[in-house]
Amino acid sequence: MLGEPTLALKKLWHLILFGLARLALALTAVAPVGFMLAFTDAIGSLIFTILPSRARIAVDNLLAAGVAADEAAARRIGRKCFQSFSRMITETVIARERITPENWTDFVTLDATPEALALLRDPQQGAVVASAHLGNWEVAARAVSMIRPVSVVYRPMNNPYLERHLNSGRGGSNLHFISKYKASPLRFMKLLAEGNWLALMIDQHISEPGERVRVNFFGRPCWTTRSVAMMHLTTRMPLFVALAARTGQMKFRVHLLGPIQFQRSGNRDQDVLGITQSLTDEIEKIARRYPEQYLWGHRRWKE
Amino acid sequence: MTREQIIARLKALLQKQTEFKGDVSTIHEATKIDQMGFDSISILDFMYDIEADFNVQTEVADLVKMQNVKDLVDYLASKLAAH
Repeated sequence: MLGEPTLALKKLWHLILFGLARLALALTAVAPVGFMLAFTDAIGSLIFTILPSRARIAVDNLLAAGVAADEAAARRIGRKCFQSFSRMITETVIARERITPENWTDFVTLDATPEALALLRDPQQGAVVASAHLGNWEVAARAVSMIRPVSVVYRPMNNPYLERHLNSGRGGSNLHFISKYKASPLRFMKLLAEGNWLALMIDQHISEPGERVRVNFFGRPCWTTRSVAMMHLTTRMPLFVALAARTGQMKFRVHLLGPIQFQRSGNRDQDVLGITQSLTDEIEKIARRYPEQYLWGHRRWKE
Repeated sequence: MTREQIIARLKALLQKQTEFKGDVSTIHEATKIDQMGFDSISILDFMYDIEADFNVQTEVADLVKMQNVKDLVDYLASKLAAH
């Protein structure tokens, strides 16, 4: 348990980050987009410098994954990854204000097969979507919500001040966010039956034994949620991976991969493992293309 | 298969589930599905196991309408009768 001084320091740190975020968000209303993105890049770089333990996690992950050849390369990519995360927050705020059903294709290129596009445009067709912390995952959801209703399951931020502030006005008429702590499979099934596309992040460590499966990601075993595979197996809804890579200033390419086909074996554990590994492989392929946009600074490979 | 046999098989499936934390002995036809004792995704495991064990294919639009065990038994009985 954290002692009083540690709790006080943690609260102070949360307030400092909240203050920086408020400053950045206030600036988005008046400053040019280019300036704002450069400013948030600088904040990301600053955090990489002043949080060496967090930076170390990113550097170690990059080296262990074989994405960076040496310490210097890992630090260079790690710093860019922190900038990418910082930029993601600013982009998300800008996107809320500026991306509309009329102009979203000015910001987003949708990379999908004709079959995926047909499913996306079928108003009755729900789908299960796996996503990951790459590029701008909120823009990915917002872009798809311009075509059809999207419900996103998310993990609330550890910083309660940022969480409250960023969550107000986060959704849209076709975009809904559901805290993972208020989520239930029955609710998800109803959303899918109503034609929603249900998006869940599958690249975070899961500690609850009944809810996880062990897959390989960048050649190393890690615990991953079973929920996406189980939702697909139970509902037979089409299964996709969706990731939005940043290609320029407020420009994104949404990789909508799928529908991912899987022959069920009749063995639940085997099917869950097979599907979750396939989804993870797709995420790894895209993360290798944009390594500086993946969130390396979290403990993905915990035991 | 009788209704009693269907319920007995459903209870047996739940007892085999390591993730199920509810009390199987308290389950009867009037038991609400959301009060059976499922935590998180164990209800999805249960539905997968029902399909495999009863050799039927369920539809999500039908599953979300079910309120209690009676609805589930009715549904399975009609699926099995159609075989």
